[in-house]
Amino acid sequence: MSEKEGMLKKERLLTWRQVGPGAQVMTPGTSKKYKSSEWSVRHMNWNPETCIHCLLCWATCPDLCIKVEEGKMAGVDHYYCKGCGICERACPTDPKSLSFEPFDGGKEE
Amino acid sequence: MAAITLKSAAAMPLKMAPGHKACPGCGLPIICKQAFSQVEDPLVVSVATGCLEIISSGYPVTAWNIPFIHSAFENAAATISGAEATYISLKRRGRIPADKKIKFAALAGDGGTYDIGLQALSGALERGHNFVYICFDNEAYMNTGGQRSGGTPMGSSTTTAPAGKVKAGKLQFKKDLTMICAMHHIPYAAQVAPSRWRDLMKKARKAFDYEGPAFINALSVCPTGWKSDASMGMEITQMAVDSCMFPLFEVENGLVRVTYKPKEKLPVAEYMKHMGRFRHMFKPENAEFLGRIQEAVDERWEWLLLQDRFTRELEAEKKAEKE
Amino acid sequence: MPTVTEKLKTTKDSNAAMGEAMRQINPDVICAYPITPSTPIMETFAMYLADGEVDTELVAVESEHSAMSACVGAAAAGARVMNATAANGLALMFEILCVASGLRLPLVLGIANRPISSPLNIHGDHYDTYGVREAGWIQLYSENAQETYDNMIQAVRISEHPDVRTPVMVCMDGFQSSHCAENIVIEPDKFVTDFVGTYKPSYTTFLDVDNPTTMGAYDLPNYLFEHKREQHQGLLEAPAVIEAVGKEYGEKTGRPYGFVEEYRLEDAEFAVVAMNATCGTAKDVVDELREEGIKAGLLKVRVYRPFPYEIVAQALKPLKAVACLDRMLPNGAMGGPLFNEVRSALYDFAVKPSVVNYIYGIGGRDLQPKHLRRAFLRLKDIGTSGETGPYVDYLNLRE
Repeated sequence: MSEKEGMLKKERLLTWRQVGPGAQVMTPGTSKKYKSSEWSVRHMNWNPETCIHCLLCWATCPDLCIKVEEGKMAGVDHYYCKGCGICERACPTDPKSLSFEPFDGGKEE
Repeated sequence: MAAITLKSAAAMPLKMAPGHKACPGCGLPIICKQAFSQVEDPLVVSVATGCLEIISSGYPVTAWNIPFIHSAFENAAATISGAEATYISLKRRGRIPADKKIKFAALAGDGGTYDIGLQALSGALERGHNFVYICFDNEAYMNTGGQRSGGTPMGSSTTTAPAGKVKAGKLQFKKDLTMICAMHHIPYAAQVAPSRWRDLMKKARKAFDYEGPAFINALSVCPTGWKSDASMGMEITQMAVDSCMFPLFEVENGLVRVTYKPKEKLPVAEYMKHMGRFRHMFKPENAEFLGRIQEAVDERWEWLLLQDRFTRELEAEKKAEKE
Repeated sequence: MPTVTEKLKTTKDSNAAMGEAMRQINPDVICAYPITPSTPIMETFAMYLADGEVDTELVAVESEHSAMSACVGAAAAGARVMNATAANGLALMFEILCVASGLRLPLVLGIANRPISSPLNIHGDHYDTYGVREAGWIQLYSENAQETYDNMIQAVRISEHPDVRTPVMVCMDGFQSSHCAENIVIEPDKFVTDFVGTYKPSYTTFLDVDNPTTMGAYDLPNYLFEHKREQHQGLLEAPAVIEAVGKEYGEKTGRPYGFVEEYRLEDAEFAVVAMNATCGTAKDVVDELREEGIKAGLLKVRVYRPFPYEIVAQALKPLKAVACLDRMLPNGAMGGPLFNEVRSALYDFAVKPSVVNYIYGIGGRDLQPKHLRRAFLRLKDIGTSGETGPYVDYLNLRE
């Protein structure tokens, strides 16, 4: 996923001649490059065996990191997941299809 | 448009991208995702200064996949009024194709809506621009640390009306903004909460479908400001609804309809106990204040139920007349 | 007002002149709020709209702050936008004036100069536009109804130029100009339409849904400086465009415009520097004094922002003594704004005139020829004695 590479803090800061008028950000959705999971000390683990694809986790995830393919849950995007745990509580299955796992904030990547 | 299901909503392209800087468990992106999944036409947004703007548009990064403008704190409604007027003017003059559909939305927090933004909102509603105003109500000026706003509920502790030795947090009531907007005789005004996604999506769709101004007040959980557990975000939101501190209703063409009636009405204390901002309410000296809050919530809920009953009786009458 | 097919000599006050210019320009959107003495501008325009002479989308906002906010939204969306206000209204929209220039949006704002409260005064002085001079807008000042009309038309071209992309305010004195009927030549409708052309924004607009952009992002300390320097470039590029537009306007109408007007300055020894309506009186006083053998002159400043300091310095350098007329109290500065600008412009020269400051016309207070005579005679004394005395003095103040 090359659009996620290149952490913004490693990008060179623009000079005044390069910024362009009005501080207008010309490319949409550039936040996709930002690894918001860096903030987290835990991740959400997904169990496809117990998942019933109700998509309640999708509906309630603040970080837009529940992957949905053809109407079915396809996993948690660990690049963005901040580990808030709302999805775990929303999950209706027993045992839950989402669980916490510790995460060291992306230091290994 | 497709039926309102999570499957169809998840298939819509994301108008707000991931990688934004919201706190873990923040209600704002949840509401955005649910509400915008109901907009098929191109959407443009004018956002007031506040959490939503700050988490999503720090130069040179933007979380927005749609045109976005931020001008100031109190003028989201005024800015979108100008853009909507341009759309009308340029269409009339042929510089925008006659069949090009664009939907306009103004997004602001309770700070930029209940208080400083009320004038611009009122003016835009009165002028009848075709737009949807979504207020993200996290019940304080959360972006700057949690100062009290007109949307802060009675009894909540905020940094400018904190609970201390002699004062028990905010002593004033929460403004009934949704009714204020409805009294502008706009086609549609509603209160929503992301814990009831189907209700929210239905109302969002209605709001965007109506010609003319529409107002949506959405309860946005703020674990940072409410001092609550982030993972309990949706449950706490639901408790706000079940305790009737944030009832879900709509005012459509002047008629009030309550869209969610809790099976068991929760005492406000049961809701409050999950949040640090209400912790002081459990001190014995605040028991009387807590009682008054419960009374006020009950009174208001009864009034809403009365309006709802009137609407349903009127609808039943009209139906009987037709037959 | 019927369609104007050829040059029309008529009588209008500056408010009506602005309204007429707006009618001929027929902008895409106008968002305005009434305030004395600028209200008749919008009233004139609203009547044109009601009679179908223009098809502008007029947004009747609920405050000046919302007026400028809606103008910002409209300009961002790609419309040609105009507005008019004064005094407290301009002060109320100050926040958004900064937003407009920061977002590099072309806008034209007509001003009927009037002081900001308190005490409340509706009459006329430069407190309002002097007060907002830090907002990063281009400021054009107009001596009379003709200049007001001409400036409004040129302002559209200046503001929209891709090298400039800076909003412009066109100023004229409240009541003394705004409500005072004067002779004016109105150009044909077609000339104005051709001169301003159809607006093609030089930036990706807010309504360009196929190319979504984010406007008004927030900056941390690592970017604001660069953005402000970039914005400043618009004001640095503006003089070339102002000059070119003024020259083109002159070729087509017979009334050329520059940054200043030098009235009998070629061999002058004493001059007054001023803006707006007083310049009309000053020209008469200069003529009178010339008859008496005093080498008097007037430097009228038209473009106050960006200040044409090189032109002003060259024009005033050979003189013996200069009096700057400011229609606002110094508010703690060494003198009024024109005084400070002129002295700054002249600072580097070894040989330069003495410069003093006269505060006049506050709150609509009249400035009569006899007061200007007093100023010139003092300049003559300064020229002889070489002693300036106190820098700041007042004309027609009861002391």
